[in-house]
Amino acid sequence: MYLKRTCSACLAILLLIAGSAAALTVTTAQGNGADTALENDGQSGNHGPTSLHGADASLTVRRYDGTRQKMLYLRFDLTGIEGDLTKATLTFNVTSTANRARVWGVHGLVDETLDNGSEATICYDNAPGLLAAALASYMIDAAKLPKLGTMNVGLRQESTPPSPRS
Amino acid sequence: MTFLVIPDATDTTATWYVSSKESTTPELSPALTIPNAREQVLAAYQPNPAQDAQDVSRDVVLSWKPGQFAGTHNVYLGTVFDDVNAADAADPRGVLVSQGQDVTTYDWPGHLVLGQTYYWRVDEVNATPDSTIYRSKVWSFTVEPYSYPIANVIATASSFDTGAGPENTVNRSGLDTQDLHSTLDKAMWISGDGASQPTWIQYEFNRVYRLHEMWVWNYNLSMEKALGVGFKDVLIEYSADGEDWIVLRDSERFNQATSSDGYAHNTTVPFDGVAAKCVRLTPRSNWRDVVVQYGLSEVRFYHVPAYASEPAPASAAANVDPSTAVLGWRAGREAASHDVYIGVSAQAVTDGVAPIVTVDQASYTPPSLGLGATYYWKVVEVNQVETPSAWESDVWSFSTLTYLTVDSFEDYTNDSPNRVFQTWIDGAGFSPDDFFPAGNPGNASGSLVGYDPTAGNILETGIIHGGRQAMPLYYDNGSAPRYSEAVRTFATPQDWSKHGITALVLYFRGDVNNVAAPPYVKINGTKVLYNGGAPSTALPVWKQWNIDLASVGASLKSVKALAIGVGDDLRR
Repeated sequence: MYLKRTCSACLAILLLIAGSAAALTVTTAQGNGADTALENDGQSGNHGPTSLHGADASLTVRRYDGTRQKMLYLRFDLTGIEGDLTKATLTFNVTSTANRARVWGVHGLVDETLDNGSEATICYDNAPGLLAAALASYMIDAAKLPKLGTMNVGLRQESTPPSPRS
Repeated sequence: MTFLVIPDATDTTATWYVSSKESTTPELSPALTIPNAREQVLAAYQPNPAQDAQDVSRDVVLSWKPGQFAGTHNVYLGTVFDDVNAADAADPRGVLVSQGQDVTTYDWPGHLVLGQTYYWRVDEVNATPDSTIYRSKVWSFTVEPYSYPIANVIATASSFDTGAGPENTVNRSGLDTQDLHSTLDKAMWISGDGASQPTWIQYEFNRVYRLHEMWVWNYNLSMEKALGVGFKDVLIEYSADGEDWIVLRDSERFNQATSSDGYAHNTTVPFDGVAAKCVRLTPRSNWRDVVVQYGLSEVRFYHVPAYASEPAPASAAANVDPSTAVLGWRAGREAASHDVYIGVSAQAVTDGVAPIVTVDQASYTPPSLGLGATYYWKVVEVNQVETPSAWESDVWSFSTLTYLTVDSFEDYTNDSPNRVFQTWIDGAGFSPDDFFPAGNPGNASGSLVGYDPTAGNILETGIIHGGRQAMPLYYDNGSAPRYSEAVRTFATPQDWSKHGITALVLYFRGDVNNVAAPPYVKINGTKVLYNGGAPSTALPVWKQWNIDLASVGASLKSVKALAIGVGDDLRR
């Protein structure tokens, strides 16, 4: 059948913004995800190496060697998701408006069998890949938590850490 | 996948705060976006409750997303991790609670045990003949506790020393994260030296609660053993209104504090479930009758949740779809039925004069919510054999969408069965394939929907009206039948007579090279011609066409077909 395409019009019935069908975003709030802060300093209150922050609504990040040591520990449930993790993008919502742009290092936990801990009990002292260190410092087992890359952090920045798995 | 994130360099100045999934905006929790990804899921995933969830309703219905090839599901649920982890169909260990079920939810009969941690997993059993079983991880959650601490308690007292006010007994001052109290005097309350007697301290809550118990940390100065001003024998009264008081205990003995840091509460007073808004403690003696002063470090009240909580939609939620909205809440602990008040007047709901419906489950589907409206609602939990027999929730609200989307054209792709011309049937139809074995011969009109998917995007992605894409519709009215239309048939007829729907809105854009002809729509075959004239299809600007449904004349209760066409052939 021959159709003569002489005229055209573009139509839309109401509107609904949709995301890209090719990208999948997983948050720590999904599935077996977890987010907490690991702290190892002597700040008064709940900030020592056994302090628990899995229930905190806002996670503190600060590296001030000898005084403060606070870092993020994040788990994403990627069950069943296939894709190029080397191009994955990590995103945070940084709520403090007084902060400055800095470079953060991103490490990945290699051993999946260590990947299922409860954020209600994970602290600096027992987190897989972290070694005992003096207060206000930290030490990473590079074989278990190799550094994957860095990200520039301002109020809302993104970067692309490669996969921690080979 | 687990990440550790830490600043690369030491830094004296900057502290960052990152929203977690426990924040009020969990959608802004840390996220990982994977491009060009797809889900290839063999095992069950995304459990609800989420892994390690706390304070889960004892009536929770477990749910999960299924494996891609699952035919049935075996559910394991128990209180011992090893049993749930090791059990299988041949060795169920008492935790195989459902085998071979079709649905991806599981509702434990009766109530789960309060405060208990449960472990569960789901085995996805592939459809026959494969029948391969894929295990999920073992997930866990903890059921809501029997009672909850009451927050925002207001404390007042007959007197106090400077810096040692009654508020110190309810503000956690002096308590560490393990609930152990210090010996700091300014973290406690002590009555005034030489103050008139009797001494009393009173607590007021924000509402009436069914009280379970009170924990007491007695006065804990380091010299308390010698000073002895801590409460000893205490009159305990309660009131539902702050006016009429009832004696709970005439002389309850409070244990003396340890006079040392790290002091754990050592007195628990049962309240036997009385309903109270206020509690008053009047010491009849202290631990040494030398100084006429009395003190406490901290008290904490626990209540059994008798009123409805955790509304869904969340209070003040916006853009609720009125066509699918279901109200839900966590039921009060002793509720036998639920009176739901809902209306557009907050005052009428507050006053209890809004429309009411009684339901026996903690959910309610409003039959006729309107578009673009704000609704207020509350739930009164009722049990006639209890006293009081009714517990009223807060008044919650939500607002509805201002419109419902018929078709946004955002979900169509280049691949079958999601090609736009497989939904909007044009003059050419489409060929048979695995999804449509019979294909479709088309409607023989002069229309052609979509671009050639082998040559690029099937939809228009450059000329759009919001979103990412729009539907191109070619028309050729140069020969019979001299009209061009694409027709979408709804698998489930739509009811456009509900929710206060008044208009169908169509956005369209023409092209300067078009031969002008008027656009039209047909609702269940009833044609509505665009009243803006034929030239509109030759204008390269977006037009918003509001179609007043009341004037269409078509039945709107069961809309089965919607056609979009171009042409003014009056025979159609």
